[in-house]
Amino acid sequence: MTRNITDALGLAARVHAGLESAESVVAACLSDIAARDPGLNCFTAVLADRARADAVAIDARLRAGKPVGPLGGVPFAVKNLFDIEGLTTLAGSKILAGRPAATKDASVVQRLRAAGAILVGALNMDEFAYGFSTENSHYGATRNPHDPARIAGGSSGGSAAAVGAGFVPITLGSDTNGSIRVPAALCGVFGLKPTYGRLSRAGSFPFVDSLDHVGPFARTVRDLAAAYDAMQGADAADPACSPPDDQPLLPTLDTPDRGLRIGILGGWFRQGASEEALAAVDRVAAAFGERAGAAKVVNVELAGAQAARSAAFCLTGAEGGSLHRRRLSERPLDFDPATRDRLLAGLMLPAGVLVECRRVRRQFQAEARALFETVDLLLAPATPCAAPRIGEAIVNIAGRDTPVRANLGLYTQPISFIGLPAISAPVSEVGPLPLGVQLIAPAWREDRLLRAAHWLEQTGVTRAPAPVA
Amino acid sequence: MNGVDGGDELDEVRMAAWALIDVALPQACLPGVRANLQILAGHAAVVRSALVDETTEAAEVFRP
Repeated sequence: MTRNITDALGLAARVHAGLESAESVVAACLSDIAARDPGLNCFTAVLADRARADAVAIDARLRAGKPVGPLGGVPFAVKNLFDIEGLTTLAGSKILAGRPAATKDASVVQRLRAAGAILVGALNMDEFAYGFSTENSHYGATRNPHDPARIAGGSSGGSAAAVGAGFVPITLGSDTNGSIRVPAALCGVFGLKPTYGRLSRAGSFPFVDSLDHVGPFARTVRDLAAAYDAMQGADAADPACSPPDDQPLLPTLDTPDRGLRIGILGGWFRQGASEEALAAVDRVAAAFGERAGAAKVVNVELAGAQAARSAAFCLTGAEGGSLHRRRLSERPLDFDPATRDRLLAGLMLPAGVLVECRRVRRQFQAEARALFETVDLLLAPATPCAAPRIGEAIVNIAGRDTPVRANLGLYTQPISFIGLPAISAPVSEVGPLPLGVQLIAPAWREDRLLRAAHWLEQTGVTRAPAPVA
Repeated sequence: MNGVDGGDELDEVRMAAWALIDVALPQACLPGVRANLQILAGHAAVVRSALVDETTEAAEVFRP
């Protein structure tokens, strides 16, 4: 029995070499989920029959000497807003539960399967992806694998917790305002939010079209890169997905960029953060500073960050409210009340405010572009604090009482607002609970981002802690 | 409304704007919606104060 599957590429190598069959991997994975997930509530559906059938097919291909793909035999799972053939796409809601089952898999699910990965289940999330905690009023809270009394973060909480717990080595989530980076940080795993338009969203239930991204979670940067590589490529089914290039990144990870200029984001990105969150950033910055060949580490600011975050806040409510307008009208009492009231308020925003938000986006985008003329990567906390307790509405951070739900995305929202690629990397030894640091690159420079994250991981400064639940 | 003197006419304008939204609000939603509108108003004020006059949103599909 394989327990705590933590290394996708290592597992794929063992399956390819015949040291382990895909069928035995999947059997162990399903057994582990059955035994431990009731305590964590990561999964909303387990696809046992489908996964076993896929594993049998992988093993048959291997026996026949046929290729199975770089992730052959690797179990994965996806946030339940991704379409899975034969399963109703819930997007964390009760309202969608009565809809017909999806007739095909989402594009990125198809691509991971084409690379040999085996889908084993769908994962819990905040209702309609509107939240940072995965305390879902319909399907229960997902618990943090490092302390089950605490939240996993959200909205892709099931995705982060499933990797953190070692159920599967790769999961998929979505990130509109921080919904990959926040739970990745709180669960101690790597999460990649690529550039807006890099990965196809076709077959995923939308939230805010102009801000929605999809991306992978993993316990290592190599696995993150392998999943990203498998999913890359334009997709006519998602009008926003037209990347300028497809860059396979896994082969480049061990070739570090020389002379990187690292900017530590100050101002907005250090206000309201706990000492531990700032220590995590400083630890990563120090590692870059001590790196042979690193040109410099400097303090920088993005003055428009607060306005960008506010604009993201308004745009989210308005676009989300518009998307759900009919459901809000016909079935208001079937929403989580907190989600519903935010969507209704967003629906009422005047059009003029939305235009102003989009104008601020252009301004902030220009400011970030100018900053990237002087630095290659930016550093910022992923969250202001480690995982709060389940049900905790207010946390005290740096002496101030702070509402949890509204503020876990303080430092992620400005970045996704302008579509920049970012990784949340788990930082070692900064406190009893996991904390993440955002590495942020210019648009379309996931290559630089992943190489830097891989280098940090090699130094031991960032590392996914072993699951304890 | 920020010192605008409109009286009944202003109420009519507000009702007309509300009719455009065309969503029935159950009584249970009202306190939550009001609280969220106050939060959004604060964010909208931050956005407005940051705007530079000549900046426009030029593209239909946002591209980074």
